This record gives sequence, C-alpha cells and structure tokens, in this order.
Amino acid sequence: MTEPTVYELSAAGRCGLALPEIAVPKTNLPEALLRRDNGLPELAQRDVVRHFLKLSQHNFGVDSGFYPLGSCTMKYNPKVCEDAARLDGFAASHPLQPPETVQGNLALMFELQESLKEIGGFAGVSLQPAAGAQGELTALLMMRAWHADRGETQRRQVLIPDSAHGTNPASATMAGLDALEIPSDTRGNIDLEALRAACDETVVALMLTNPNTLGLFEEGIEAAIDLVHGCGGLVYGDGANMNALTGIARPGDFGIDLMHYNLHKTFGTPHGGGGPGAGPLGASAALADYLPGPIIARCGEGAADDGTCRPVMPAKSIGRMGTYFGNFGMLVRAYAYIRLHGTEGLRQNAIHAVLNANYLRVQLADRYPVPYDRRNMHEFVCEGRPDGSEVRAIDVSKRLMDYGFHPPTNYFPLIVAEALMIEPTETESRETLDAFADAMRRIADEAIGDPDLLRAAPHTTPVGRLDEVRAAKQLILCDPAAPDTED
Amino acid sequence: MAMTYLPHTEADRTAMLRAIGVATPEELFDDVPAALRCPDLDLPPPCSEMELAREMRDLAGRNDIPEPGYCFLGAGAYHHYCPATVDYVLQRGEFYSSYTPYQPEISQGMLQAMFEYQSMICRLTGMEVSNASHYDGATALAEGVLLALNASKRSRTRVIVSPGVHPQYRNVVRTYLSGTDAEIIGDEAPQADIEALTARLDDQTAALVVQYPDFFGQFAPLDGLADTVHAAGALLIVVTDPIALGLFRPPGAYGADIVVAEGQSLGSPPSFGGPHLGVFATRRAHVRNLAGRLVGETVDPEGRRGYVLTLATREQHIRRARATSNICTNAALVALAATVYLATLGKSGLKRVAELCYHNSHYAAARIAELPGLSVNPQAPQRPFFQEFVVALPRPVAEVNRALRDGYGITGGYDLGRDYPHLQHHMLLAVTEMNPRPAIDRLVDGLRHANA
Amino acid sequence: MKKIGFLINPIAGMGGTVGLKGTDGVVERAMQLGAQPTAHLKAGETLAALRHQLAGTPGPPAIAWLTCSGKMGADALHAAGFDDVEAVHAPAEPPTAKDTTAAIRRFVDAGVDLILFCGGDGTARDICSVAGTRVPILGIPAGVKMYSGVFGVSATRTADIVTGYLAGRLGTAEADVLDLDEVRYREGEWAVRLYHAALTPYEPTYTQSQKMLIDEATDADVKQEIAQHLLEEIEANPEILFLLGPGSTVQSIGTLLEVDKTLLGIDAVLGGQIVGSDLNERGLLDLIERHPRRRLVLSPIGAQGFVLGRGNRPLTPEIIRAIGADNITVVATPAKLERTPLLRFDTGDAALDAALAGDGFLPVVIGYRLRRLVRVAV
Repeated sequence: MTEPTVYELSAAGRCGLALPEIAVPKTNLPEALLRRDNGLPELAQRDVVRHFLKLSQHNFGVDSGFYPLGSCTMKYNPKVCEDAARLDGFAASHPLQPPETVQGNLALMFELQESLKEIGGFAGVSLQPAAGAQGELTALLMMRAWHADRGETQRRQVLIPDSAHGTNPASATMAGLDALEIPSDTRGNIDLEALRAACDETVVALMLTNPNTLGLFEEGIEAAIDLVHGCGGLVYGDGANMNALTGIARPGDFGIDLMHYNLHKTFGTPHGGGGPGAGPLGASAALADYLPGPIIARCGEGAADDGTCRPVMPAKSIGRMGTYFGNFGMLVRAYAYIRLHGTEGLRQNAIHAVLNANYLRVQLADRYPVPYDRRNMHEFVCEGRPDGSEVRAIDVSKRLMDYGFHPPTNYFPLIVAEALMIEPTETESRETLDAFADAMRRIADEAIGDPDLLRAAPHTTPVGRLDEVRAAKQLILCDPAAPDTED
Repeated sequence: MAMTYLPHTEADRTAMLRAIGVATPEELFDDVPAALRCPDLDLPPPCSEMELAREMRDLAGRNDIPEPGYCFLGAGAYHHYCPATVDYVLQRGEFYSSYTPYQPEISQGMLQAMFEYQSMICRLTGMEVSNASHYDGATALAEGVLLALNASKRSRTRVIVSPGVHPQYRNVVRTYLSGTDAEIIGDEAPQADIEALTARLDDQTAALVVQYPDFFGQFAPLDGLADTVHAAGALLIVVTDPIALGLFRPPGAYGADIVVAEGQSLGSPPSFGGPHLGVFATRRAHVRNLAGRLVGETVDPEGRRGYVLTLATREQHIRRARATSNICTNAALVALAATVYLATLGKSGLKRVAELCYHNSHYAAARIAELPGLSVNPQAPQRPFFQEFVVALPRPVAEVNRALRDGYGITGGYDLGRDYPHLQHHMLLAVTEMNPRPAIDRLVDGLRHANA
Repeated sequence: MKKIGFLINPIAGMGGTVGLKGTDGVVERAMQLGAQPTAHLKAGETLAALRHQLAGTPGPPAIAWLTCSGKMGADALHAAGFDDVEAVHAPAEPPTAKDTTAAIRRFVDAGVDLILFCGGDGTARDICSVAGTRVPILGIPAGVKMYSGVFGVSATRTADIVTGYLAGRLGTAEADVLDLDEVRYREGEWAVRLYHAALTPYEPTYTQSQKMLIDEATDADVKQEIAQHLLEEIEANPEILFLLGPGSTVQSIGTLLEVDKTLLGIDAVLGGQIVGSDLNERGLLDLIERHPRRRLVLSPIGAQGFVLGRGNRPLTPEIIRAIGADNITVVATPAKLERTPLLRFDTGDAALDAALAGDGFLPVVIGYRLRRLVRVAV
C-alpha cells in the first residue's frame, strides 16, 4: 500500500506542464548567479494527478466521515463557500491595489467585522490574525501596551486555568510575560478561591476559554471576571469554543475585554489539513484602538458615509501581525457562512452542537467514565479506559479507525487521565452518533475480552501503528530519494 | 426554512432530548446566566445558497480586476500561472476538510504530501530542514528572528535588518518582538547597503537579515556574507523568492542559516493577500529550535514506510529561552498547493517560469528605460534583477497608475514613496510569465502617455 | 538480551499489617504480633503480569535475571515461569540489609540494565547506598513506608513500566529516595528526610505544546526548564543571596550555573557563585546577617508535600524568620505535583506556618516562566 514519493516517481526529462516559449528578446543571464540544478523531481502530469489522488485516498476528512476531534469543531463546510472564495474577482485581486479598485473586498471585510462585533458583543474587530494562536499573541501584546500606557509596567502575570489549551502559556511567553496556572475546582470550573489569591497588581490578564476545554460552561464566569477587573487586570476570552455560544450569549456582555474567533471552527471554514485558518480579534471599547491593522472603515472623504470603505490603522495599533489583510480567502468563506445562517441559523447551530454532545455523552457514560458528570456544552471529556480494562485512550482511538471513524482528541485536557475529548458538532445526524456510540461500546467489550486487538490497532488503515519514537530518533525529514544538488 | 446543514428531524430532537433528560433545548443552556441568554443579534437575514451565490458574485464584481496579464503589481504578492492540477487536488475533500494529522495512520495522505513539500523546499533553497509552513512570509521571518535570538542562548538582543527587506515584513517582525527586549536596527537608513549593515555586526547581534532578490527585485551580492556574519557569532537569515530559485543559486549555497520566503507564488492566487504560505528552512543544527510542524519518516510494526508529525518535544526546548513560538494552525493547504505546483512543473518547468519572468521583466525594463523622463533602477550600482524593477517617474505614482487603469486597463506598480521617503515618484513594477509581450508593450505605451 | 537484577525483601510490609510504622529492625516484634510475609505475593503479581505482557509483544527482548537464591528472588522468578535465572548471592536466614547490599554489588558489577526490587523505603535506601545513580532501580510497592519516587503505583503498573523501559519507550529520571529519619524518630518525631538520589524509569510527563498535540517531556527537560527560570532570576539579581535547598530539582539549578550544588544540603549562591556549601544553622545565620536581600529555593518532599518539615534541619523556625516568609520560592516538576495535591509547612512554629501558608495558595515554579498556584494545608 506504500505510495512512492514524488522523487521516487521522478524520471529525467519529464515535465508536467507545457509552458510558453520566450516571446521577447532575451537578455543575458548573470552566469555567476545561476544554479545548475534546482533539485526538483520530474514527473508527467498524469503521474502527478494519480499520485496526489492516491494520497487523498490515504487521508480522512469531514467529507469522509465522522470526525469528533474535540476542541477542533470538525463540522461540515458548505461547498458554496468554497465556490465563493474562488471567484476571480476575489482570488485575482491584489492586496496592494488602490482601495477604490477593491471595494468589493473591503465591503465584505467591513460587513464581516460588523457581524463579528455583533455576535461577540465587541466595539471593534480586527481581521488580521491568521489563526487562533496568533489571535492570542495579538491580544497579549495589546493588553501589554494598554497597561504600559497606564503606567502599569509591573503587570507581568497572565493567569491561565490548568485546563487551558497549551497555546495559552506559549503565547504568554512569546509576549514576554509570565504564566500562572490556576487550578480547577471539583466541578471543572476555575477555582475562584485560587483566582482570588492570584489577583493582584501584577496581573496582566486572565485567559479564559468558555465553555472550557472540558466542554463545561464556567459557572462562576461573572465572579471570575469581576475578580480580575477588580485588581486592574483584563480578561481575554479564548474563542476556540465559541461554536457553543454563537447566538446564545455574547462574551462582550460578560465583560470579556478581548476574544479571538476561530473562523475555521465556529464559522465553518475548512481546516485544510491543518490550516489556513483565521483568528479575528474582537475588542472592547477601551482596547479597540490597540487592534492590529489595517482594519476596514466605511466612510468617504469628509464626514459623510458614502458607502465606500478604506483600510485604516487604529489610533494606538500595536502594528501588523502579518502582511496585507490577513487570510482574506478564509474571510470570504466565513462571511458567506454567516450570510447563509443569519442569527437564528447560528443559534440553531449552537443548540444542535450542544444537543449532539449531550446525547453522545449519555450514550457513552456507562462504559467510559465521565469525570465531571454534569451537563456539557458542545463537547465532553471521558476517560478512554473503559471500566474494568487495562487499555489506554490511544488504543481505543486507534481501534476506532477500524470502525471507520476519526478518533477523538487524546490526552487533553491534561487534568483528566487518559482523556478522550469528543466533539460531535451540530452537522452530524442521530444515526451517525448512534453508530459511533455502538462502535465505542463494542470497543469497550473488546478492551476487556481481547485487549491485544486494541493494542495492535489499527488493522485496516494503509499502515499500522507507526513508530513515533523511531521517527524522532532517526529524524528523516527530507526524502532520501531526493538527489543532492551541487550549487 | 429547513436548516440545510443540520440533519435533525423533529423526531430526532424529541428522542435525543428525552435521552438526555431535558424537556427543551433551552434547558441545555441553564448554566448560562439567564439575563444574558439569547440576545437579539442585528445580523442580515439568512439567504439561500442561490441568493448567496449571486451576492458573492456581485461583491466580487465590485472589484476592478484587470484582464489576465495586465497586472504589473507585485511587491510580495504575484500573479503566476497556476496549473489545473493544483485546484484539482485542493478540491479533494479528504485533504481540505481534514485537520492537522495528529492521528498518522488515518492521515498518511497529508503527511506524505507535507514530507514531499519539506523535501522539495530543502532542495529548492539549498537547506537541510524545512518545516511544514507558517502563516506567511512575514511571520516566517519573525519566527526566524526568534530562532536566531534563541540560538544565541539569550546573550544577544540585536537583529540587523536590511532596508531592502519587504517593509511589511519588517513591521511584522517589530510587532512580534514588541514583547521582548530585542531590537531591530539597520533599516532606519533606507539606503544602507550590505557593507553598511555588516559594519554594525557586534557581539550583541543575533542575526543579519537580507532579502534575495530584495524588495526592489535586485540580487545583493551574498558571496562571503555568511562568513562575515558567522565571524561575528551571528546567523544569516535570507528572505527569498521561490520562483527565482528555479534558476538562481539558492541562499543555502551562500551559507545562509535560515531561509524564509513567501510561497504564494507556488500555485496560489494573490487572493487579496491571503491565505499565503510561510516557507521556512534552516540547517540541521537548528532542528530542535525550529518552530512549527515537522513531518518525519518512520515504519509500522510490519516495516511499512509511513509518516508522522515528529520532534514535538522541541517546543519544550524552545520554551527555555526568552521567546518561543505558539504556532498551531499553519498554512497546510497552501503548502499542499505548493507541493502539487512544484511536482507538476518540476525541474525544467520551474526553471522555464523563472526564465520567462527574467526575460519578460528585462524586456519591459529596457523598453521603459527608453522613455523620455523615466529611468529604470536609477540607484547605483546597477545589479542583476529578477522579475521586479524600480522606475523613477516625473509624476506622482498614484496619478500614473490612475492613467494606466483608466486609459489602458492596466494595474500599475507599487508606490515606493509609501515606505521609502527618498523614493517619491518611484514605482516598483513586477513582470512575470503571466504578462505576455502585447501586455508589456501596452504598459510601455501607457507609461509614455501618462508621463508625457 | 537485557539483564535485570531482581531482589525481594521478604519481610517488607510486615510491620504495617500489625500497626508498626515500618519493619526495619522490628521484624521479630512484627512476627510476634502475628504478621505474615506478603512481599513475595506482590512480587509474584508483577512477575506474572510481566510474563504475560512479554508473551503478547512481538519479538520481546529476552531477559536474563540475576537474583538471590530462595525467597529473596529465585523462587518467585521460577514460579512465574522465567527460566534464565542466575542466583548470584545466597542470603543468610533470616536475611538482613547486608544481604541486600551484597546482592546489589553483584548486580552492579555484572552490569545489569535495571534493578527491580520488591520492598519499601528502607529497601530502596539500602539499594541506593550501593547502586547510587549508576543503575536505574524500580520498586514493586510492598513496604510500609513508600515515600520515595522509585515505586510503581501498583504491582501490575510496575510490570508496565518494566516492559516500557525494556522496549526503549521510557527514559530515566532522578528521583528522591526518602525514609524515616530514625534519629529523630527515636526522639519521638515522625520526620521523613531525603537520603539519596536514585535513577528510575520514568513515564514522561504529558505536556501540551500545540493545541492538540500532547508531547512527552523527560524529567530532565522539565527540571532544566525550571532551572532556566531560576537562572534568569539569579542573573538578574546579583545582589540577592540565593539559598538553594536539598533535592534533585533544586540541584539542577546548580548544574545549569555550573557550580557544585550538594544534593542533600543547603548551598548559597551570590551572583552566580557558590558562597556557602552544605550550610549548617550557624553558617546560614552568618550569611543571612551579611546579606539583607535573600531568597530561599525549596522543593516539596515527596507526596506528603512538606516544603518545610521538622526534618528540614538546619532550616529552623529562627532561620526561616530571618530569611522572611515572603522570600521563599517553591519549585517542583508537574509530575511531582501530580502526586502532591497539598503543600505543607510544619516548622514546629504554628504562627510561622500560618504566615508561610499566606492566603492558602502558593505559586510553584513548574517550568520556564510558568508557575502553578497550589493549595497549602492550613
């Protein structure tokens, strides 16, 4: 089943694309700067197509089947949004064209900013960040600058619940700040007593994911935000789980100062095998001036709103987080997604995401212990060691592949041993959920009756369980079949 | 209206609510403070797919896009030919609707494609290790600078950046470093050349950053530069253009330690600036400080070859240093486009594209240089250039561009005065294989009249 | 082919069943009270699980066992169905600590890959007095006291660790070997102290570097991160006297500073240089008087979580008061905190303990620029 690499398929003299002859008078090439061999493989076009088609068949996407990868919101991506992003008027537009020639793009971005402000309850939105993690970094740099403008440079601590995504502390370090982990209480909420003890004049912000990574709504959210604001700190919302709240509640209404949206989760843009995504950032009135730019403003020359849009830098902007206007192609898809749904559609998405997750939890709880057994939001975490068995979460996950499902997230959040984090999303049917629950129950039986079947899984994939230790030790990062070049 | 993307029937909902033990869907949200629940949102009303398709066509139609071949704007985002194979592969749902391949056995397609991407980028740049992408060229550079600062074991805090590096890249690096005590120097003198930059190397310098070809399309001389930089204990970071590397010596051959590039040219449209592709390659010595994902080759229990994400623990090593990376979602699908692009064009195809860009741009430059009142690459010394060149105009760039658009249907060049005060009335033009001879001739014609 | 040295302390655990706080030196008393040997049963459980696991793995590494004759090892191995067994020591009857040390010496000389033993803290301590950190050791939990970080959590899980280690999946880490301070015990105090550092197979800590990618970090990696964090603090504050407490986590700071930090003692560092080694009460007071700004770095002991216990001589209440309750930095690896839900201060001075406990939470340095708020027992 092993597919050769492009270098193994290469044969000298082939080329997959006919290109035009040089139709202008030639200019001498600077010999000293030329290379003899650019090191690329040589394939016929048919070989290229068969190769990548074969590779696609060795991959599993939402379009292939159920993909309950917790915390990633692997929901169906409407195809019409793909078509929209490929329209020539969008795809062929150049980011440095004069604003008057790209009014379609700017209007779309302006409307998307407005929609995201409305959905999250924020005064300003920047579409610049290219992903959620970049949104976090952006927010921390903004909050740093905000405190600095108030003369409070002693604020260096970022409070992070112990259930948080690992990107939160990494973002804090990247922003030159220190992270302080706050424990969770017995109901899976942030421990308010500990938070109170941590709140002082050194706090930059609390980074809060709500619903948290256990899929639970923070029951003490209002108290938590009051505590942090009380000590002069800010509250950052990690919008990774906004899929559960869209149309249900607005983070800005709770007092969240800044929050990133993951357009590739909440607003249905495809995950692309790991990217590109987009992580627009919403900000309260106090912080909106610090947003990275450009952002899109609508007005003409002078005060009158003549409907034209132009890019502007916010007054105290921390600067650019990337070139040009962020991941515009993803913004087109998200805009289209919001237009398809409207307020009620987005709300129904959230409701059905929560309905599906609770239904699945109830189906599985008797075989896979749920550590914080309360009503969850859009996802839930259970222990991947069925009662009475000795297998591990990873074994259950690998075995799920044999039943035709993508595994859930493993070993996260870290505060649950052998965690399986399951997020069905709203676009899955009851039949699919039942089939998945059925597979999970059969695996639980196998875990007790024939654990070695699980330990050796998967059995039906193009390759068996891969040796990750060997990969890290041998470190083959470049195809040995690629010939050396002599430049 | 039926909820198109929700498969639930009324019977499903009823049965599921009963299984959960609640009477209404609203009860599921009891934990949300009631006063803040279900606000009225002022969003446009929903529309059907058909209506949406029309609205999107209208919006896209409000952009003024020249006929193919009549755009001469580059400055970091380029029109290159995109073979039909690329979108054919990108549209495969198995690829684009998947996520990061955390479960390798079910994600071999994406993993092998990323492995092939890494391999081709290594060969193209002349480097030993490539990661599986960053967001764009600018953030790839920011990560490269962070790597260099880390590699100095926190003892060096200064990075010298050439003013010939894309201005927005420099902005982004500054934003990224705003939380650290590192400083960027060198580009405050807009005409600083390589000698002026190397003169500033000292024991506080972590890296020197140059662009090759630079923002103006010119090849700054790199011979011996790496030795000078290394002698000062710093790293050489080179921002490059992957299309140029189809023909020209790669930065790796000059001893660069880190090579970054904007990879949009490799099979993706400009798309108003994103999503693009951050190319990042380095030496094997830095592999454990490398941010972003890496795919490695391994075997399964039966000895079959397979691919996995590897060296994840290196983030731990990075965290020990002052600055680190938090990158997670990257630009995998754009990297896949680049993989298919490079595989389709291959050795001779990419070389031919680079030759077309070289000859077309030199033809255009030579014709424009003949125009009265205009001069090409007026800054001494004259250097070889690739695909882009500078034109000094007698009039403001915006006026000339307006005339080109209105009279000739041409998107003109980039106004260099926006970033370089000494380059008022200077335009940066990009000519690629997409601009056929008649389009170039029309551009020359337009420039003649616009500046008459 | 892997060589494992295997040893059972046949009397381990007997004291506990009859209410004694250990079996060391009181075995006859325990037997009079009706205690039955149980260690061989625990060992048997581990060996059976191990044998089963090895049978289920394709191409397992064969094991050559080195052990003691009879009930100190060979009997249990044979009963579990292992046949490549060589008895390298014949113990006295009843066996004593001397038999343990003699057998361990033979194991070490023979170059074993791992020493698997069945016992408690006393056994671990005896083994380490010979093996040091030359050979990794792993304990099947069978003793009355098991404060040391070298034990599996159950007999079966211990077998998992052995197979993982033999397969090369697990690395090794330094662990604290703790035991009752007998001198203080005889004075009527229940104080546990650190005796040795041991090497033990280590199940990596799961840490998260990217959103969904859970990484494994080695114990040494985590300790080095903690050390790096403190190193920056030391470098940024050349006028502060840093007093570095006992234990391998704190010792890693010395390694990074390239100074000779003692494992068991308290050493002083100023501006990156050692200015006092293995300090006693007088030495400490002397330095504290000369340096108005100082900071004490401590790591909690074992699962009990004592940051300061009565065993922490010379850190008497007077010394702590002199240093100042606010000037204490606590460091611990996340793996240690897993086993340590609560931190404790028990200096013998209740008012001081209350001051140290503050508002009931203490930030503990667990990585580079990463701290965790941990609850303190009040």
